[in-house]
Amino acid sequence: MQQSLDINLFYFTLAAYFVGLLSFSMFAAIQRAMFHRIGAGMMLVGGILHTIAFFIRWWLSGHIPLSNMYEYLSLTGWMSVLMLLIFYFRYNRPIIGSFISPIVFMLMVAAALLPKDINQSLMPALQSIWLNIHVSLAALGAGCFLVSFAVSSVYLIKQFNPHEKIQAVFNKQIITTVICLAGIPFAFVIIASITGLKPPAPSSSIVLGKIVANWGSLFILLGLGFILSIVVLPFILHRSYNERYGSLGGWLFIVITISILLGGLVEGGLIKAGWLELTHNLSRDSHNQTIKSSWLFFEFIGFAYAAGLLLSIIIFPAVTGISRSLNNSTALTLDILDEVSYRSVSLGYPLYTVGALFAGAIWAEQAWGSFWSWDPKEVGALIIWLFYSGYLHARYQRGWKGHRAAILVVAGFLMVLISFFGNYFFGGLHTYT
Amino acid sequence: MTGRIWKLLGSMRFAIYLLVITALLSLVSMLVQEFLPQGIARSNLINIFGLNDPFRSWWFRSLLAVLSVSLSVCIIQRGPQMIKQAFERRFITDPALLKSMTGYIRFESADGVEEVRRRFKRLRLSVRTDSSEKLTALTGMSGGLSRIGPLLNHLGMLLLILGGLALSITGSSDTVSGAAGDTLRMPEWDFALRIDDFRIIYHPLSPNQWVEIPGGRRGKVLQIEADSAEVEISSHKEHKHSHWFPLGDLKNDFMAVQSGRSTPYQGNVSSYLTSATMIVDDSMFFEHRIEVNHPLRFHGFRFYQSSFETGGVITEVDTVTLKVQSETHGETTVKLVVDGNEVILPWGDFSLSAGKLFPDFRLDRNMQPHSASGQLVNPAVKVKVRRDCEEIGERWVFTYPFGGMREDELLINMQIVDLNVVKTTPAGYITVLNVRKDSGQWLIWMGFIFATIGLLFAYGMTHRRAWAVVERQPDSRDVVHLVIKNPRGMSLRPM
Repeated sequence: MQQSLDINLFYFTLAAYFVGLLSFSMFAAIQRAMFHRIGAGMMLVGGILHTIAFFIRWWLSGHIPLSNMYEYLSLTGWMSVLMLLIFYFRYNRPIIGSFISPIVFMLMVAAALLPKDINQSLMPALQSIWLNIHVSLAALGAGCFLVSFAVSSVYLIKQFNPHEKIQAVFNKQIITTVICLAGIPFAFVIIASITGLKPPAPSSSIVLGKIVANWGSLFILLGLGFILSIVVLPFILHRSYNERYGSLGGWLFIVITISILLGGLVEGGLIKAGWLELTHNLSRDSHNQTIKSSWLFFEFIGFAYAAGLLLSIIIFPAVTGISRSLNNSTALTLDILDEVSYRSVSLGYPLYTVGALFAGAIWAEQAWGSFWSWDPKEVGALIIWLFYSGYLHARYQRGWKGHRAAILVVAGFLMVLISFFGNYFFGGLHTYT
Repeated sequence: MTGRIWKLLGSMRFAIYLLVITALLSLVSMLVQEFLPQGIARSNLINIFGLNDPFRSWWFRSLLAVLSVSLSVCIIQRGPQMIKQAFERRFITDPALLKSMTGYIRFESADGVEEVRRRFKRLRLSVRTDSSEKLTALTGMSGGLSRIGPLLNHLGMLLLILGGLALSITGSSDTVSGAAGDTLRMPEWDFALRIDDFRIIYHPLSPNQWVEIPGGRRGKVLQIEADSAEVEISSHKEHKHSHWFPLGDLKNDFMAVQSGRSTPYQGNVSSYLTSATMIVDDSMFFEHRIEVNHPLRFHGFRFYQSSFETGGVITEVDTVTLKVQSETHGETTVKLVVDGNEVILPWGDFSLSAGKLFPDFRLDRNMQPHSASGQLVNPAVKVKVRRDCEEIGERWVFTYPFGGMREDELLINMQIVDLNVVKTTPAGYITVLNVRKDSGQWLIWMGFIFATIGLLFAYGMTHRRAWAVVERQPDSRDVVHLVIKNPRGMSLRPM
């Protein structure tokens, strides 16, 4: 089957963003202005192609292209590129491009892995003007949150001083972070194997290449443990906060988070290539479509976590290197990073609040008769909103600005990811997307 | 003590903890709701903490109550100050005070007042002047409304929580269903709703759509030409193959079997359309098309296109025979007329009457009973029990034993043993409408409006303020002391 024009343009866009990413990376490494100019130029070209692709898809489908995960992710990426270009051209901070562009590229790769069929036949509930308002504003808001996540990550990495890391090996905070992020998930597995508890698994095989293994339950437990660890971590980090090593826990948190994002991408690629099939993805309905299972969510997270742990061995020295070069950079102060993160959230927050929560609630009342049904996607949007509301309050509170606020942004963005990918695993009113 | 609690409830630190804790507990509740196995639903711990429905549990509602109180205290504590900051024009006449402020600049000018005015106008500040013999004080301001943005936003959020509470207390939800020609009535309605027609409208055939091919198998359309379409047959993942079929041989309105039930293929449905006529005082009032996203609103009731059922036949039953059994009186049978008068049991002091009969009894997601079809699939009748002319309760009675009714120490069990079917008529689709009524929606709408305006003010405007003191010198040159707050608005601070 021939690919439609918009999808071809999408791949050209992806290529332009990739060149932009390489150029910005070169700029970060050798600090020559030519590279950031090429980077910005390529991001601009990519952005224009992206915009054209969006409108062509709109024209081909006959409705705003926001009816599936690929389209949502693509618009989120578009907004992130817009933010990058605003920060580049208006505020003249080329270095910001060096850490927004990788995140944009990752997002677009994730979009490229998703089914891109044009859906001309919208189901009845989606035939509403509120689709345009609700989904577009939510996607644009999420794009801003993505940028603030990238900037806050750099904040935490920059704040970490690699020269002190040997002294800090026995620091309470780093130990508690390791215990939380590595200990809890594996403790789950050990306790389950001792007590004989097993999550429900209709069949239990993970097909990886030609190897078929009985690992489904293991990944579910790892996923459960990881979710628990990110819930308790902010409290533990807060208790053990210490000015001297203040950012260590946050820095490690970032390493693990980036690793898991990459792990998830690797996992998505393996699934797309047909080399990996998760346990709960194996049952099929009468259309030969895979049946969603909520447990699949934890299995996915567990696999991404395991892959992320392996990847963090590579990412750890890379992030330390970036941290060292960022520390030497005088063009990028913590204040600027804090400010850019705040600007991104202060643009994304009203968009997300009005789009995801208010417009969504009004639409729900029109379609289903109730403003709020505590559907998993609705709860996900509420949690994201609560985290970013917490962040905006924290910005006005002495002692919370900076490092702690950055951790709230990172945690908020993790919730954006969970809410986004939750569609694949949870039931509820949003399962059609 | 009260003062400390008051201060705590309005503090920013408390708000941060409250927001983060609410977020984390919402996450836990969502996971509990999604993963709590049904089998352990009767455990005490689960009942005490309301884990079957965590978002309606006492502890979650308490958390929302604390959030509301915190919002209210915050509004009361900070509101007056915010309003004052938004509209107050304060002059600063002491150059020393300006010098102590960040962003202070001093310059000389031939006409200081005019120069300051020009600078203020360039920043779109509205200017006011206060002159005395020796000096002129100027103040400029724009975007003052951004100060009341957070106030409106908090007020909006409070209204949303209160509105949600009002809806949950006053809200009612019911399900009615009917085939074309049926007139629906409910005791609380002062009108009736006649179902004129119910239709399922499908999208035209398009690529990526599932269709039924000859032989009853399903496939996915790859491409369409003038009179034929290429269809990928999805018999098994590893063995996909495609064939061309004439368009006339492809059915895009087939029934798919999901979870043991037949439903039209959902991805291809364009609309579920109920045409209905509102009848008031036995005369036609107006006609309306009820669709998803287009509810009918009338006299405070809202009718939503909820779902539909395949009709089969409509069964009319005139009498039901019940087997009634009690521990002390033994067993007896009694024949009741549906929607008829009460019948006294042989035991003497008890009487029964049958209410509505649902041939295919089901509960919707709001636990409202309705008949999913007109066929005798799961018949249930509502039976009212009286003792000594005093009503002691109502119970749904099925063709199988289902619980019992306890009166003092007496347990009464009832079961349908026979139904007298008087007529069966063929029916098409039966539309299922969700009927809602609640008060408090206006609070929600006010909440949306306040919060949205608040966000626009808070994040779409920048509060810029400027003060200047112009001192007239003997040599006719003016010395200007100037401070501008937030001169660049949303832009980053200069390095």
